[in-house]
Amino acid sequence: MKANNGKQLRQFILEKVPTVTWILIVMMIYFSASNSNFLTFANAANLCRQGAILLILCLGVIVVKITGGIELSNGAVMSLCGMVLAWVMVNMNMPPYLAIIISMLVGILFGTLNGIFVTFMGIPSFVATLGTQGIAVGLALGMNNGNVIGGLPEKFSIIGNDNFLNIPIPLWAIILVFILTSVLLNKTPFGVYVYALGGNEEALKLSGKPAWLYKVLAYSYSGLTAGIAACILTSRNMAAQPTVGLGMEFEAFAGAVLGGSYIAGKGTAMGGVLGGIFILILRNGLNILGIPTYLQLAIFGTVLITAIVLSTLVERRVQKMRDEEREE
Amino acid sequence: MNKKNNLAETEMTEDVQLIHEKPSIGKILSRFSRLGALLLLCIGISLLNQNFLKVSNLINVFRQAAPQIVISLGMTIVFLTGGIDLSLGSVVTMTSVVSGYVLTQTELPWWFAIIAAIGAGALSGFVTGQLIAIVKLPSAVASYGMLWVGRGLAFAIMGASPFFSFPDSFRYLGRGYLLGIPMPIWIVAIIALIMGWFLKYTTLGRSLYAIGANPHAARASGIKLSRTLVSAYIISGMLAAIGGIILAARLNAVDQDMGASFLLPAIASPVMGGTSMAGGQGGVAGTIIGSLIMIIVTNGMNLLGINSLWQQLVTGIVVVLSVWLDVIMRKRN
Repeated sequence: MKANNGKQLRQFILEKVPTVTWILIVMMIYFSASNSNFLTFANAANLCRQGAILLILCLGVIVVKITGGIELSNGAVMSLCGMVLAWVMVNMNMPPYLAIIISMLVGILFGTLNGIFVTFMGIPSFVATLGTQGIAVGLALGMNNGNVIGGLPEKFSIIGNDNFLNIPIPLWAIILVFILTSVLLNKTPFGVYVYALGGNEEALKLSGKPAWLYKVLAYSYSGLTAGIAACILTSRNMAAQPTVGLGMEFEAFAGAVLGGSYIAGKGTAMGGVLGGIFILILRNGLNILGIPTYLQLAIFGTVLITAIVLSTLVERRVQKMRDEEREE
Repeated sequence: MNKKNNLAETEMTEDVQLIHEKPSIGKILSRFSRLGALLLLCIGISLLNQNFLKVSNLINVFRQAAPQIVISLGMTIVFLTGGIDLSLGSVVTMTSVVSGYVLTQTELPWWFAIIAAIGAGALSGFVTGQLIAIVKLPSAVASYGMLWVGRGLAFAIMGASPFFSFPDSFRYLGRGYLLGIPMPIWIVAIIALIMGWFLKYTTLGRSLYAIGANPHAARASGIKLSRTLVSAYIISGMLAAIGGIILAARLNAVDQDMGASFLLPAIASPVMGGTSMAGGQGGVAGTIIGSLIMIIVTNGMNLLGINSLWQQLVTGIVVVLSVWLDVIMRKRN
């Protein structure tokens, strides 16, 4: 039963710890060695505030990814939620807490729309979510003639800028969404079905369980995270801009893929967070090293695709090792 | 080598027969339904606004449609293999920035800009193809990653300042007339003819259908899967580059966002024209009709005075509906 320890250790390193952790450690050593500002408390706190939006989105995307889908709409949905949020507060004098609920509802609505496109209409997830992206961008631009909505109530700035028990509220939001996601994935039937959807959707359908329901719910959850992220973003900027979230879907997608793998049925909440942190640190590190913005995107894209390829190769190696073990 | 080619050809001819056998009434109807939809759309819009049927507007529509038709043809090739290339929009941006760089920052002749742009498109397609064929990433993941690499490269080449005011000989490709017909339309016609011939009569072209319809059968019949896949992405990258050149020549400037808006229409146009996203089915003529429908919808919205800010909303809905229709048609077959 006990194979040699070296092999077990290797398997543990490759399998149990998300690959991104190792890249993360190397990257942190490199950035902190080349610039002393990197490992400071101020930078870490700043990173948390900036990163809350991305990490929350990553946690939603990872759920969709586990079911085997690709979510490309959440950046645009987040912009739209922000616009609606600001609209109801400014034009309808709605109190902030009601507006926040409405923002989350809009997020859930568009997430559910994705889910319906994918399940009932049978559209591949990346096309469905690209379509939703177009719909959300169009609505966000059209609803206020492409203009920014400003003049939000003073109270609203609390969410993005204040502390609660000495911890920034965005960080609380990350923690809450993280706990929610882990509990949903690990302790509820929803989680079981989400993993089953990614593992073997046909088997799940044959078992007579409403597979479509859980798939729709997975997309709705991702929409909900977009709604939550919109509240933080809008509060930080104290304005809603119709295209603010464009491009965010790529970072969230990359974070989710790096934290687990692109392979369906795999991934954890922790992996999503780690993948998101990877993206944040990469972006922050490039800034601190003083690399001009126009070069950053190219480096960013290349690093990401390299990381995806690497984690794929590792994943395949793990799979091979597992198969060999089964044969033994 | 020769033997393998022969093998592939025999398989292909069977495939061709399968596709061309028994043009049932339903199939003929569904083929002409797209043309019918296009005509109905034209009639509808011209009833609402008389300016639509003016020659100047129609020429304008065709000229606008030119880059999109070429890019959609690139997507068609990839759809035939059963994949998707999400990077096409950013390849358009990247290649037009490359041509802009050659035109304004170097002393090289204008035709070199075209070669450089097409080369860049081919290279990008080559990398995407390798990621799909060798690393075995799903095409959506690989091409989505390449979307951002291409966008990043465009930013990096452009630096802080956009490129503009190109030489007249280059701009002729986008604005000039030959025999009273705008150059972009000539370019589209030539490319459409070449692609039509390529897909119908060459081994590689038939192989694209074969690997989309049934990769295992294709492999068994001697088609080199990865080589064929990679060439599909190279061709689509080159077509996106040509689209980018037409666009740059017409606008007389390039910027880092010019290609992004082409992605959704490039997905919708082939699908509306009867190219299945599942692979193995479709062609050039359908894609051209699909692209024209897309362009006329946008043009019609402009003529009817609908704010262009809403256009993305309409494109999104059209994409979802057309792909849904494709799914339903496939289930029925």
